[in-house]
Amino acid sequence: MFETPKNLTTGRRKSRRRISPRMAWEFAGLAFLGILATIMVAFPGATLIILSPLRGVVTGVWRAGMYSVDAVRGVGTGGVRMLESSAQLARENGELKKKLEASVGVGVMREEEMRELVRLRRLLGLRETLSDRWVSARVIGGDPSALFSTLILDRGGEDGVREGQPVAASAGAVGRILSVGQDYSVAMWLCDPRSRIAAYVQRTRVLGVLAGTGVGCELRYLSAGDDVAVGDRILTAGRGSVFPKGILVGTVTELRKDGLSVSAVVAPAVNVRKLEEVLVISRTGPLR
Amino acid sequence: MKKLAQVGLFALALLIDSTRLINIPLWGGIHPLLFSAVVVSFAVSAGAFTGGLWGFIGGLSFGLLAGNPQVGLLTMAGFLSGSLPVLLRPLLFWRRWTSQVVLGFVSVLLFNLVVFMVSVIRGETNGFSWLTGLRMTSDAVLTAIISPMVCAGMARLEARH
Repeated sequence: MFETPKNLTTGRRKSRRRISPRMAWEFAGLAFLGILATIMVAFPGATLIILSPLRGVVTGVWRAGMYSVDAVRGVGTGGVRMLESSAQLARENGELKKKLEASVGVGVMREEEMRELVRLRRLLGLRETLSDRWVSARVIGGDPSALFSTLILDRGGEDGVREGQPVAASAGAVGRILSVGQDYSVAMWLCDPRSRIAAYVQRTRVLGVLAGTGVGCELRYLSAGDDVAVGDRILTAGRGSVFPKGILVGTVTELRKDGLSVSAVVAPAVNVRKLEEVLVISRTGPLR
Repeated sequence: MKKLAQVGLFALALLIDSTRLINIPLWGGIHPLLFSAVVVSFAVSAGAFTGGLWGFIGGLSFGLLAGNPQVGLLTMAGFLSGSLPVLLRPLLFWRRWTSQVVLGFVSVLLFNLVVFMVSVIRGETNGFSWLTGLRMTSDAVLTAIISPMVCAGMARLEARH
């Protein structure tokens, strides 16, 4: 019925594929967004300054959302119980079941409170060993990427938190503050690939640099003659004024030799994915 | 109404991702990137630009939360993970439902790879470890599993409004 016209010189049919105005706009939009994103990658500092008003709004909304999620986590079991009981109201034994479920719910909540108490007591124990000023904070979020490990804390500049301050938990060292907002802050985990701190082997006092690998840590720049063994505990060295000396970082799980240099794979003492409360140390000094 | 529902779903996905509400304790913690699944579902129905735009917004939100120097990095990762898989759909397409699985997988893999590669160029990451690769792939697999469900949900929402 319809034939595409032939090119008179070549005899080939002309292609009917054309770029519609909508497609052109879409490609232009994609190119614009791509350029914008590239500029943002190249100038992250300037980007943050320009977007700082937006950052305040986003983090404000986010914090409210994060607290809601936190609350949902806590009352999730209670909510399920309420739904179950409303479905069984018509039955004769509904009242008894409701009471039973209510008592189970209270039990679950008490168990949760008891666990929190244990965690907070441990944290208090750590707090008493630190002769420094500290700020306690709750972990309200984290980094979504598989590579980096950052935590969002509910304390910020108005609570005395500053960039570079060390963060610790009851199990050991966590990381340091990467950026600070008015009422929140972002902490970088020790195992983040960007993290480097001085650390030493507790048993033999051998000093090295603890570097993050994304999924764990490595104690680097050890020499072949250094006495380091699997199972050794690694502590913060207190050099560079980031961490106070003597906070547990992790345990050596493997030794890797590459010519004259040796590095030790360290399993971190703190599981960052399970952290709920931390201490931000605002002024460092020796441990008591 | 439809737009409002889309924004709501997108915000919920971002919130779940950044609070790590879904976290499987394997290899140091893996999780599906729900925001990527939602962006893919938008892109499947409305095109690469829409996917790129939502990905850009999502990455920017993560970046603003995470702070310097990740703001541009996560924005770029979000933008590419939202737009590129749909642009490459003719190459990735096999069957209707597998297409959604593949798009979800490629989207998250791209997100993590962009973050990794830019950090390597910046000298922030030393090298690729198999555990990092395993975590990146696991996140992508988890997202691929939930992508068809999210796409079906979005299609139902679109049909209703």
